[in-house]
Amino acid sequence: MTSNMCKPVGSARAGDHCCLSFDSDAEQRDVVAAYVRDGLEQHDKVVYFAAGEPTTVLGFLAEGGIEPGPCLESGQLRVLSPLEGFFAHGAFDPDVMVSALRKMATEALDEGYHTFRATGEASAVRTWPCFERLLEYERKVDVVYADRNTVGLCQYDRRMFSAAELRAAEDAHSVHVGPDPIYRDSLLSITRTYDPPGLRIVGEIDSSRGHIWRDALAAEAEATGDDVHLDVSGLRFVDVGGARLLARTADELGRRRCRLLLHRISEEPRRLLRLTGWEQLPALVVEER
Amino acid sequence: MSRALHSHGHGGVRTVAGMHAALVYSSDDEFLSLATPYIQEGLHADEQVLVVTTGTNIELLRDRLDDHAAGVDFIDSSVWYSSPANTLFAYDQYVHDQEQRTRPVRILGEPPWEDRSPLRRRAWQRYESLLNLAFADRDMSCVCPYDTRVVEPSVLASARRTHPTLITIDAEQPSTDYAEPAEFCAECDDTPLPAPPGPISEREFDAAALKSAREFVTWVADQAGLPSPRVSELVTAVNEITTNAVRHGGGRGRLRTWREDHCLVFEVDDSGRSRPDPLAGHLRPPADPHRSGGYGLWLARQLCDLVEVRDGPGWLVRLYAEVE
Repeated sequence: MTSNMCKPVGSARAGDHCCLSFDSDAEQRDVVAAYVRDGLEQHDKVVYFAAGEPTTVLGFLAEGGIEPGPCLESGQLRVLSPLEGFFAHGAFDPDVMVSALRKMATEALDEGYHTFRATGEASAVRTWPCFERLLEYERKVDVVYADRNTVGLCQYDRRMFSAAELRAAEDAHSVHVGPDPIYRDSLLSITRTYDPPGLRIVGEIDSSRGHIWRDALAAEAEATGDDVHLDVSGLRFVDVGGARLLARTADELGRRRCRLLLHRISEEPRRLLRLTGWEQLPALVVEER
Repeated sequence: MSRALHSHGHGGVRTVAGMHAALVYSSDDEFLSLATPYIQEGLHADEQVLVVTTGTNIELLRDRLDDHAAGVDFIDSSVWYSSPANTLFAYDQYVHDQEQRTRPVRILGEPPWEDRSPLRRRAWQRYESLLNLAFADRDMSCVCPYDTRVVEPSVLASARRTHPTLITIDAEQPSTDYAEPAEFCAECDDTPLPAPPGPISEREFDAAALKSAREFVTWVADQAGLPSPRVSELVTAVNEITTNAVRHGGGRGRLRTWREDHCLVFEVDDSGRSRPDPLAGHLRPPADPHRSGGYGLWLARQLCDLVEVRDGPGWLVRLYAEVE
């Protein structure tokens, strides 16, 4: 699943059985933290099935701006270790898991929560007992999430599954989600990318969006000590001011021996960089579509 | 700019770095006897020699230079002189490339003057004047032939105003009519533009309407049958001018469009800023990305066939794109 076919995680709605396949911890954490945050904000019951220590999850939720303490205390948020969650009844069993989820959902709604919102790290159950049972679970759990007051997000770490397994797992989900855009309006959207690390830009950059573009580039350059990659294949228009910001960012990255790489650039923005001479900047790498 | 102040008996052009001279000739023989030694001297000094002239003159020179012709870059003037702004930039790049190799450049460049509308002719005259700025302090010389058999007297008169040096078969001397580029360009920009001849479409724009102004340009240019890459260039050009109007010209302006003389014309006028600098946007600003401003008008000039700027209540900018 390529990331451009994904919906932003913020658009996940009750009734969705979502799949997130990610390449890096940073991507997983951004998306999952947003998913949990959205749930807590709209008074959902949030249950997290972890593959490792719950403290790890609580740690990155806190980094994502969520203060887990009060929600844990009230019971609105539960982060379950493998033994409390996936393996609460021994080896992972799809039927047992589905009925457990259904029960949790009913209880949550009885307690007055708006929606039952679950998420789980699928790598926990890849080998115990086997991948086929995980896939069987994915097909059976559709019924639970089809309920309009339930939403689920299954997390697949691409580093832990084979390409064929991933394809099968993704096919078992009706919705695929990725990061929320850093910025989005009718003209322009800017979304973080993780492999390679950088931004994906879709739409048009003119002087009315200049300040947004400037802030996004500056934040990205500041956040990394490395090269910044921009996927500009969806950049339909950029004015001189917008192109100048690219050149400035490249120049600043160059001062610390890093580069700005523009991937899959289309002809018009390319011409602008060529004519202005900014394409010659040593730290600006332009790769054609 | 230092100039060659030298009179010569027969043949040869006395050159110094930075020279920009008009070479006025009235026959093939005169052309050859003035141009050939100029070229030979450059080859002898191991300079990069570029000759842009008519196909006929290229043949004459190849014939006369014989084996030495191989050391010369010959380009047909009908290919090279696309638009004044593009040509100015192409010369700049050519010289720049040779500067990287610390090689002096010697140019013989003859723009075509026939069949130009008054508007076009003036733009090329202004271009001749701007060459003085583009070439100032660079290790190069440029001689521009003018064929009295084909150019009009008014073109010759302006050549005397745009070239510090005049070369004829009789003498090489400073031009007493020479005008500084700022003065000459200001005169060009004071010439009134013709009133639009046909139906006009127009719309107002402000900061929030830059996008819809682009859509308007796209629609109009599509309707005129321009190919899609050309439409994109026009959209970029007009957008830079509307953006300038929004940022420096009172926050809003008016965009008008019409057909004129095989051209699609877009006109942007705004309401509040001082008289345009006659040299604005003719020479490429330094590539330093930390400098702000200065690129929009230059880029518009590069992307259109012609751009004219006039002083109105604010700035009035007309952008021309040829339509076939």
